[in-house]
Order: sequence, then structure tokens, then C-alpha cells
Amino acid sequence: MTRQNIIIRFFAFLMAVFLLLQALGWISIKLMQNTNPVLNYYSKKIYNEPENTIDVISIGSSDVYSSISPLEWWKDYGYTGFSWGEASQRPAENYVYLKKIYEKQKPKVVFLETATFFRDQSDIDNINTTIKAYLEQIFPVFAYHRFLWGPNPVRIFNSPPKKSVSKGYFVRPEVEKAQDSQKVLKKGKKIKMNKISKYWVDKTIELCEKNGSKVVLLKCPSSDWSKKKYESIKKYADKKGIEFLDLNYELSGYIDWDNDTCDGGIHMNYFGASKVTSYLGDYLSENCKLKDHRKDKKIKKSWNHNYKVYKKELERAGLKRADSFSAANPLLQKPFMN
Amino acid sequence: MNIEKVIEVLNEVKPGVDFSKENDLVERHILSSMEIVMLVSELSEEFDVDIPLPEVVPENFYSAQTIAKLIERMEDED
Amino acid sequence: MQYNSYMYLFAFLIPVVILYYIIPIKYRWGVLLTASIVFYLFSSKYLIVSILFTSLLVYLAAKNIEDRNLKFKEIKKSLEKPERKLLKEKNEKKNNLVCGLVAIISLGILFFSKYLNFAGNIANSFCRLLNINMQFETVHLLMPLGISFYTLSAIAYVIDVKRGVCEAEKKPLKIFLFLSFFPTVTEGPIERYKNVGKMLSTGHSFDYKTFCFGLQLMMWGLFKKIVVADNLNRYVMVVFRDYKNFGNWVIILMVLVYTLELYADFSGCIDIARGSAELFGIELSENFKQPFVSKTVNEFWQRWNITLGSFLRDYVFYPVSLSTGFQNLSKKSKKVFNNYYATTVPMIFALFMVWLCNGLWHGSEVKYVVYGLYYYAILTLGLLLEPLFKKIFESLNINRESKGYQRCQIARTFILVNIGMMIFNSKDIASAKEMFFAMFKPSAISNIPQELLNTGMQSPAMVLLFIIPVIIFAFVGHFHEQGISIREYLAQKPLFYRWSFYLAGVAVIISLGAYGVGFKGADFIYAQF
Repeated sequence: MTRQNIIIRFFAFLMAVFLLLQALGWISIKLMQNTNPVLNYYSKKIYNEPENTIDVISIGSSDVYSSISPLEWWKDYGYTGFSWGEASQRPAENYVYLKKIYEKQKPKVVFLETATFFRDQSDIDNINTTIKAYLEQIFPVFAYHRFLWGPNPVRIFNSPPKKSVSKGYFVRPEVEKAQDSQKVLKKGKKIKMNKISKYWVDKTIELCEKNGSKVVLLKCPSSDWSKKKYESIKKYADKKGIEFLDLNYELSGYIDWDNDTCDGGIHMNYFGASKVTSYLGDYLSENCKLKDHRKDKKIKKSWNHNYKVYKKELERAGLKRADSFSAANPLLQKPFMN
Repeated sequence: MNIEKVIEVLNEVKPGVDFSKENDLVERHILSSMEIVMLVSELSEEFDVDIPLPEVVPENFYSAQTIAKLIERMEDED
Repeated sequence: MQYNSYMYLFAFLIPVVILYYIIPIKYRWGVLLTASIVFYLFSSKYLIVSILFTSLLVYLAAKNIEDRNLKFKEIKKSLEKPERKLLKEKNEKKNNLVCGLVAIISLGILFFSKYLNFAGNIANSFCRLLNINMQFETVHLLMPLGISFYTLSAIAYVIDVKRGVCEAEKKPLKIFLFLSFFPTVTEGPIERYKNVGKMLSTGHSFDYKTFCFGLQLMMWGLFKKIVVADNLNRYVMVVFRDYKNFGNWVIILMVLVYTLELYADFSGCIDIARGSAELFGIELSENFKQPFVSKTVNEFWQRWNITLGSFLRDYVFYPVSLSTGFQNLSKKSKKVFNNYYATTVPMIFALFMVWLCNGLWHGSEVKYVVYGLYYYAILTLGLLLEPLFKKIFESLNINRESKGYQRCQIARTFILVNIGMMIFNSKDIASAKEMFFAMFKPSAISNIPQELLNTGMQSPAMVLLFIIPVIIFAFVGHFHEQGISIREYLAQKPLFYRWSFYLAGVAVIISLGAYGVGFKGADFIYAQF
């Protein structure tokens, strides 16, 4: 075979692989739709939201989809939010996903979950994550391949809701109380962000600021966190001149570790999430001048409808919305510092 | 000729195999490493030669013929 | 850097391949050298000094031995016979001394990084036993990548030079490339310099067929690792961890599944490694040859992790059992025992060394020592009882060459190997023992579906996860055993079939692989050794 033939054949084969992966990606996204409206919480659905309608984006890993329910903000303040959380997300992914979100949305506030910052400790892990993040942008099948062997292939043909009813929030009703050792924050080992991780965090913050969003570093309550981690992020936030809300501290004493966690302290369940959400709602109303969209003709219909469906599903699961958290909590009456 | 004697020794170590016909004794797992050790010590006694370690390789134990050749070579070197 | 990671496949291998083929042939080995250094630095950082040191050590040792041998050759003719013999013996002694030193130093480094805590623990329990108030602290040492593998290759190289089967290398960097070559450094195969040395350090021009074969082999390895091994890993893990909650049938099943997982994991890694090397026109040794058709345990170890088995055979078993000391012992025992037992005496000692080394090589835990000695016990019993078996079979008139008997042998070996694997994967010796006895306590068959559900298998269809791989491996193994090369067969098919086959492979790996969200890909099992 001549060299030219080899090259042509090689590229033809790559083309075939490319088309195959695209086709698999298309099918996997189709199959991703979950017919249960509140289980349809996949982050990627933010791309189906109408342009410039989301004002608050919370981005991070499982802590985000377990702890923040944007529809509660809609009910109380008329804010439009979306929770983007992918299991064990990492810094490079924060950046790549946010960049794509900014193509259609102009959020005023971005909550950046800091559990992601320490997940990749080695250079190898960070480089892997970086490649993964970009690869998944080109070939979604790498991210959603597990849906290909879901139980219901018919879903390709009937299209359940394209948007996420709960705006990315995943209702977790189970209660599994934390062990005593997990109720108090550990001191932990001395820890530093890996330099590649830090590079991506810097870039993410820069991206948000360039687009006129206020960045707030956020740590949702979780036993998978330590004092040393808090100190490390706090130092970083101070240097950058941005806010850092570590809810392990801000809400200490108000999170009930016997009832508010679904897996022994690592993630919030529905009850924990309502406390986190209402705290953040108060924070938004006190510190950021966000628009109340409840009278906005373009979106109010669909958001009200979503809230109704969400509410109905909660009732079916036997969950009631906790009383307004801020009213019961004197801590939140005083203005925020720093 | 050596070869009949070699086959005799081979049959002593591993009865039931027609060594005049079989090839590739090691690769086809006809002789295990333990049988090789038995074979080497029997051969060195029978023919009164030293078979040094570097010679204990599959190529030399490929068949009865190669074993006979190995022994000839060792006899010459002494 | 794992061989199935995005980083290795996309950010490392592709640039290295491109660079390799655009640089002039003469300098191509330099690309491999640089790539191996980068690979090593990413994984082990400053610990690269360890492999650098070992390379330099064996380079100098081999050169020293060869210089002495060459000098001897030069002056050989001018010497009288007795003088010649004397000098030869003297040289031999010096060579042995050099080899011994190399072995002690390189094994010493291995011991220091891998077995220090193990030795400390043993010493501690002795002290407790003897009521001595002394305590060795546990030290946390990082292990240089692949130290268990390259140390063996390094020692084999020096011994081969001494034995005259391999020439000493003149450039130290080529020895370093041989030991640190990135496809082999994490999990082997444990190569011999005489097999790959030349291949590594000469440039290869692009060969379409070899290149495609390389990609194909990598794909096959990725299938074994991400689709088979990683998918099975979590169910196996659950049962080995909480074996008390499961009945004997599920335990037996999961022991079998673990054997499948380990085979897929280890041989998959070797396939990716060999495939990667083939992209550069380099052919590495095979490490697996259908291990599960072995008729004896001994044969199993010639088909499973072949390069470790052959290392122990050539550098431990033969030297010990054929050493003059043991041969003389054997001759003396002929006066006491019958002929058969006399010849087995040296072997029983040598086998002990082999299996102790084999066990220890796998890890610094008591269970690995037991794992090695388990095989030792089987082999020794087999040796000692052989005359008895012979009589029994003769009196029962059973033909040991018959197909039926051989099938029984294969089944027996398979069971023995699976018990070995169970020891290998249990937490410690105590749980291995408990698990072993749990396998013989029959439980209600009706519990099986619920117990399988408890392992995390959500639907009965998931049983296919291990049934289909077994069928595929049996099919492929059957052809290889017949000497039919599936790769050659595929290569002769028309383009359309070939491409459909490869695309189907890509689709299977990508859609069924255990990776991405919700999976923490398991590390390669043998990379920890």
C-alpha cells in the first residue's frame, strides 16, 4: 500500500469512528430522559432552558444537586436558578461546563462548590479530568454512555420533558443519620490545591467575572470536609477578594445530623436541602440585586407549572416543605459580614 | 548411537510418550520443568557429562535429536 | 498513568507515536527513551533515581563481567592447560561475586521499599512473643513504579551476560530504556534483554500491518479491562468483603468470577502494553497462553504470568535444583531411597525457594506467602505421591493418556487454581480460611436471587456480564490453542467486514465500559506489586 493510501484509509476510519461516536451520543442523550419528572434532574438539561432566563447558577459535584433546590427560591423570591452537579465533578469540568452555559445564559450570581477543588490531587488526575471534560464536549457519549443500557429503549421515540422540572435538584428523601464522629468537622490533614486544579479554578473565576457574574465560593454542609480544607479555601478566597460561604460553619447548629442527611453525613437529604436552599435564598436577597421574575410573562407560566409538578411529586413522596428557615433562625436576621 | 539411549532415559523420566516422534517437548508441555531437572541429572549420570545451566533452555530440549546433539557437544567440550 | 486512562491513550501515546515516526530512524529509540522518562516522572517523580541507579548498577556489572571474559579469551591461547583452568575458575568466582552483589543490592532496594514494614511487623510479633520490649515503627514509603518488575529484568540481564547468552550493552541509556520502557514498566511482561534489547534500541520504519495489529491488540485489552474486569469488580468486592452475609453458592460463584476478573484485568493490561509496543514495531513476550486449559498446576504457571514463571524457573529453580550440592545430595540419597525419590530431593528444596519467592513477589503480606506455599504444597504432594498414583491407576486400569482422564485433570487444576485465587483476594488468612469452609456449607438455592441482588446486580440480565465474557474467551482461546491466529484471519477479510468489526468493538467498549460518572475505575490489580 502506498503512503497516500494509508493516510486516506486512516482518516476515513477516523471519520467512521467520529460518526459512530456522534450517533451513540445522540442516542444516549435521548435515553437519558427520565419519565419521572423529579428524577429528571440531569445537569445537561440547562442547555434546553430559554436564553438569558437563569440568574443564579450553582455548579459543582453531587453536593449541588443534593443540597440546592432552585424552585424554592422561585416560590419565595421569584429568582431563577439552576443547580449543575455531576457526581465527583472536578475543576477543569467546572470551567468547561460553565463556558458552555455562558453561551446561552447570563447568570448574575455563580455559586462555585469547593468540594470539587481538592478532588484531583495529582497532576495525572488533573490532566485526565481536563481531557475528559473536553472530550465529553465533543462526544457526549463518553459522559452519558451508561444510559445506553437503560431498561427502556422506546424512549428514543417518545420524548419525555426535555427540561429539568426541578432545575437540576435531585430530591433525596432517605434519612440516614451521621455517626457521632462525622457530626463534628474533622481537623484533617494539611492540604493544598494541586497547581493544575488551581489553574482551572482561577480560570473559572476569571470567566465568571469577565461575564459580569458575581462569584461566591460555596461549601454545602458535608462530613466529607475538614478545617484544613476550609482554611485553605478561605485563604484563597481572601487573596482573590471573593466571598466564601462554608455552610458547615454558617449553618453549624442548625443542620440536624440525625435527620438532615441521606447517607450518614456525606450528602444532604430533602430536609437538609431545604435549610441550605433557604439560607442561600436569604443570602441572595440581601446581597445581590436580583430580579423577581414572578411577574415576567415570558417565563412565569412554565416556572409556576414546574413548581406545581415538583410540589405534587414531593407530596406523593410524603415530604412537606420545611417551615421558612430564615424566620426560625435568628442568625440569619443579622446582615452578612465580609 | 546416542539417540536410542537418550530416548531410553526420556522414557524412564516420562513413560508413555513416543519420544522418537514428538517435537517441541517444552512448549507443548510434554516435559515440565521438574521433569527437565530429573532428565538433566539422569543424562549427566548416564553419559557422564556436565550440562551447564545456560544450556538448560527449551531449544536444547526441543526433541530427542536436539538432546542427543547437546550431549555430543558437551562431550566434545570436556 | 494507567494504560486505560484518557491521559495515556490521548495525551501520551498519540503524540509519542507521531513523534516516533517523524524523527529519523536513527534517533527513534531516543523518542522511546524520552517518553519512558516522562511516563516515569509523572507516576513516581523523584523516585526515578531508584530505577536510574539500578540501570547504572547492572550496566556496570555486566560490563565488568564481559571485560573479564574478553580478557580471558585473549590470553587463553598463551596459557598452559592447568593455568587456563585455574584462571577460568578464578574468573568464574569473580563473576559470581558480581552477580551476587547486583542481586543483593537491587533486591535490597526492593526489600527496603516493599517489605520493610512486613519485616518490621514480623519482628514485632517475635519480640512480643519473647517478651522483649522493642517496637519497630511503621514507615510510610512510596514504592517506585514497577520496582517488582524491573528489578527482576535487571538481575536476569546480568546473569545472562555471565552465562554468555547475552552480550553486555555498551550504552548505559539503552539499559535504562530496557528497564523503564513505558509499556512494560507498570505490569510487565518481565522481559529479557536478549529478547527485546536490540528491538528497543533500533528504530523501526512504519509497518502498516504491525501498526494495525497493535491497535487491535490494544482494543482487545481495553475490552478485557474496562468492559469485563471493571464491571465485575464491584460485585466481587461486595462478596469478598461481606462473605458472611452470603450463602455458599454465591460465594463459589464470586470466587469463579474473581478468577475471571483477574484474568481479564491482568491479561487485558498486558494486551494494552503489548499493543502499545507494537505501534512502534516492537514485539514483547506473551504473558498468557490460555491458562485455564492446563492439565497440571505446574502447567498453569507456564501459561499464566509466563514471564514471572520463567524467571523463577531459569534463575531460581534450575540453579538450585541443578547445583552441584543438591545433585550430590541426590546421588547420595540413592543409597537410601529408591531412584525416584532420590531425584526429587533437590526439587523439593528448589520448589520451596521458587514458591516462597513467588508468594513474596506478589506482596508483603502473610496471605501472599500462604498463596505461594499453597502451590508448593500441591506440587510437592504431587511429586511424592506420584508412584502411589501410578500404582492405583494401573490397578484400576485407567489410561492416563485418555481424553477423559485429561479432562478430569483440567477440571481438577481449575478448581485448585480458583482456591488459590480466593486466598489471593481475601483480606487476610483468617477470612480466607472462613471463606473456604463457607463454600462447603450448602445454603438454600432459593436464596440465590436475593443474594445476587444484594451484591448490587439489579437485574437477572446482569448475569450476562460474566457469561458472555466466558463464552468469548473460550472461543478465542479455542482458536489460539489450535494455533489459528484470529488476527491473521481478520486481516484477510475484506475491508468492509474488518471495519464493521472494529467499529462494533469501539461501540461495545464505549457503551458498555465501566468508566465515567458513577464509576471509579479500579486500578490495575498487578500494578500494586
